[in-house]
Amino acid sequence: MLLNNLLLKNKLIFVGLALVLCVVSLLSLSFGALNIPLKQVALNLAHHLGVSTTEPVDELYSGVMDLVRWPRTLLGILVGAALGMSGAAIQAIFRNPLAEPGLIGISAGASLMAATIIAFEFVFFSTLGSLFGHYLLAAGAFLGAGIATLLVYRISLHHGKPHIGTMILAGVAINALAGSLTGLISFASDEQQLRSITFWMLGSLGNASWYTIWTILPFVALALVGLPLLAKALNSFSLGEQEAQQLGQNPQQNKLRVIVLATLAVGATVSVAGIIGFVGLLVPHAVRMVGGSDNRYVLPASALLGSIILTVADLIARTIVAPSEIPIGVVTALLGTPLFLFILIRDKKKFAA
Amino acid sequence: MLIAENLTYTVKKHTILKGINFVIHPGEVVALLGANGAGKSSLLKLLSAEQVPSEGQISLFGTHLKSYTAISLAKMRATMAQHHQVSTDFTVAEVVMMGRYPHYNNQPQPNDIATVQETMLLCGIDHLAERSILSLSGGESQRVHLARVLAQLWGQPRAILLLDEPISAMDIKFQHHTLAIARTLAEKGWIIVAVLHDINLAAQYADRLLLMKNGRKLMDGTPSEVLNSRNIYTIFGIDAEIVVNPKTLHTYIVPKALSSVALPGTL
Repeated sequence: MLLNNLLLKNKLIFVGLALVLCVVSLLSLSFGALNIPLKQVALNLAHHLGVSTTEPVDELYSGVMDLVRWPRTLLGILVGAALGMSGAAIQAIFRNPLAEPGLIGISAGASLMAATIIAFEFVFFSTLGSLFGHYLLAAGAFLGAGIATLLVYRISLHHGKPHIGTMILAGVAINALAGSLTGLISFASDEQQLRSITFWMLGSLGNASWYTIWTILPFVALALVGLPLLAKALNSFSLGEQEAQQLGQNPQQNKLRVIVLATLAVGATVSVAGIIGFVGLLVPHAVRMVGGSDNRYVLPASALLGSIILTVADLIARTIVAPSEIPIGVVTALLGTPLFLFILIRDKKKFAA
Repeated sequence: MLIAENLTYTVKKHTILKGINFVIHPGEVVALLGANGAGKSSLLKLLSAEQVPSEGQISLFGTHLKSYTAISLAKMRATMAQHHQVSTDFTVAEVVMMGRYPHYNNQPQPNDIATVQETMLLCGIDHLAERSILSLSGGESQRVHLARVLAQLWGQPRAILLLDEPISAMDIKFQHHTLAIARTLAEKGWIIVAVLHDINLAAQYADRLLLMKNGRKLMDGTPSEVLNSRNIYTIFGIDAEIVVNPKTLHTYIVPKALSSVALPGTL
């Protein structure tokens, strides 16, 4: 029965995505500069789960996994889930399939702050040391994301209500402004700084550590729990704000909730992993193509698919030119663009209408 | 009972509505008629609590409209807007189910599902249930939204249904069908207020016509009371003949065709 709660099909998609995520996570734990046999991955997993094993755990493999691979894999999952789900929610409140978290200034604000900190790092590093510099970069990027989004949001307020059309235009303007300032800083930077800025703006999970996991977990978890609670509200946005209001919703409050949750989650991920494009835009599309538009399904499925894509992209990014790494944003865009163009051409009529 | 007292609505010094009073009882179908820009949709927005009157007040079933919580109002008042643009390709059944949102938390209950099926059947869209809402024609889409607003109020003993040009894109069969649905629901005790452009349809299905001009209520009465050539000319600026069907005693207007129009400029 088609109306009966969530379709069986959607449930099967959840199960399928969860299985794929498990598989790619195992691969991510296994492959890298040092290839760890899957058997050792299994032993390590069993060890963490408290299952006693007959074979001893190899110290070297286990050490690499606990120190490097686990944080990196988990970071990929968290970042992907945050980007995927936030993207789906932002598209719903903007009533626009081409919206993404970057549209409201999150990425641009974070980039500007990050570039500023990188370019002026000699000021900080000479006095504060490089470890603090690293956290300063993350905190600054988070702050930048928040300020830019707040600015876009405040500009869009009309009689106390955020106006979506204005918000998109304000977002474009703030993006352009932050982009040009970032460009100006890049222009004034030396070779090394330029490389750092570029690398940061293309994203990387290279900073993964247990510390980064614990740092972003609260922000990401808040969104992963909070956004699905708004699924019905997000569905009713597709009718228009007046209609949503007639259904007893408070669209203004819901918009603010989504923006706050998405900014916290995406801002946190950008602060540790840089800008990773296309995931927030594409993942929800792919999810809707397969299983329909009900946000009770789209939001969790986008989180799962986002995690899968980030994990796979990171695996490619760090193995294809091992022991060196290419930026993950390059991989997601390379994989994502053909898919996006495919959707665009297939649904041309819908976008044109 | 819906009571509007001295409603005035001003937007940026523009007076959209001025001094409007009326009482509508359960069981009545009231049609709002008037030229473009007369304030019909604005009046509907005040009645639906989408906008707040600048002066005056509205009370619904003995309580001020502004005293209701959004959710309790959503369970007894539904509005079908003039234009619909659904932004995502939900299926027809999903859109109709949105009408039940005020009634359940996360999972639709059996009676929500039954309601959606009943209203889809009533509006003749049950065969479209799994189609994308974006793939429908204008008239079909209007029927989907009608089914949605009906689902919102389904099973309520007292309710108010506000319809803004609900039949503008429908074929003649569904125009009649829709107004007959409104008529039947009014007889069940609902209040129906509809903005209509087809005066003859309004005269056949409404108990009362509210004729509006320049933000004011000019006439208010049964079709046979208010439909005469002078009123039609006052409201719409057209010459029309009034005919009464001797069998049904329904009043009809027959507008006189214009012979030509003076074109501006030098075309």
